[in-house]
Amino acid sequence: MIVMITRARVSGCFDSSFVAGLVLLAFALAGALLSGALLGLAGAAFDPVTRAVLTGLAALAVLLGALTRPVPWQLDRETDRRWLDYHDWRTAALNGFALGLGFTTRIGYWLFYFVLLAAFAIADPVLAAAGTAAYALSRVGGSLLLAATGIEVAGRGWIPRLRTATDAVLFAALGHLAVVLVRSLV
Amino acid sequence: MTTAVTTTRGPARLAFATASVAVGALLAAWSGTGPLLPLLVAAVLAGQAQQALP
Repeated sequence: MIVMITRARVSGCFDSSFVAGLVLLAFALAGALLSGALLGLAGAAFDPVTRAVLTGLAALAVLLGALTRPVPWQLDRETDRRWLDYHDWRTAALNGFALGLGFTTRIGYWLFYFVLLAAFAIADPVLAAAGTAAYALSRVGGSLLLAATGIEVAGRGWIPRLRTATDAVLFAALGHLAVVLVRSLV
Repeated sequence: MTTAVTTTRGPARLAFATASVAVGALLAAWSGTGPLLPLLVAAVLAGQAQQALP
């Protein structure tokens, strides 16, 4: 991912890596805001009981998945390398949009599913979009900062430890969500 | 590494998950917060953790 972003920055975007970074981040936010708003709207389309049941079933599926396999269900791929051939703003825009959506490329951690799950459960397009926008800022904004400072953190050795840490947060978040769902029904 | 290994399989994994779920449920019951807070925490952490992906 970092290689893609670095190459997106230098592949030509108004001859400015800063502008390329802005385009990348703007399209990442656009993708995240779109997916979050749609999930929030989808959640709001159901009555509270149905929404709680659907959220509970999805949460159970994620919980069982995370208990039985370390790698989440995912499209195990990076962003399309053919986008690098554009050599203009589209490289940054397409990469940004895909990374902002999140689920069209490698997810890596079960915790990502909680972002989608909570965006649905919150049943508010603005709040849900705020949540997914925070994801895009963290993922793409963080990558841009790393690329700008020349720091390389892509290391497979870190992934098992990060999975343990993010799984702990996932399980705690699912416990939190369970209480919220029960509270919404009484 | 030991933590990663012992929490990825079998009963240890189940105990790890159960304890974490309980902590999250207690936090929710104690704080009374809605789903926005865990959503934001999960979003930021997931985005940061993904920096390490190949």
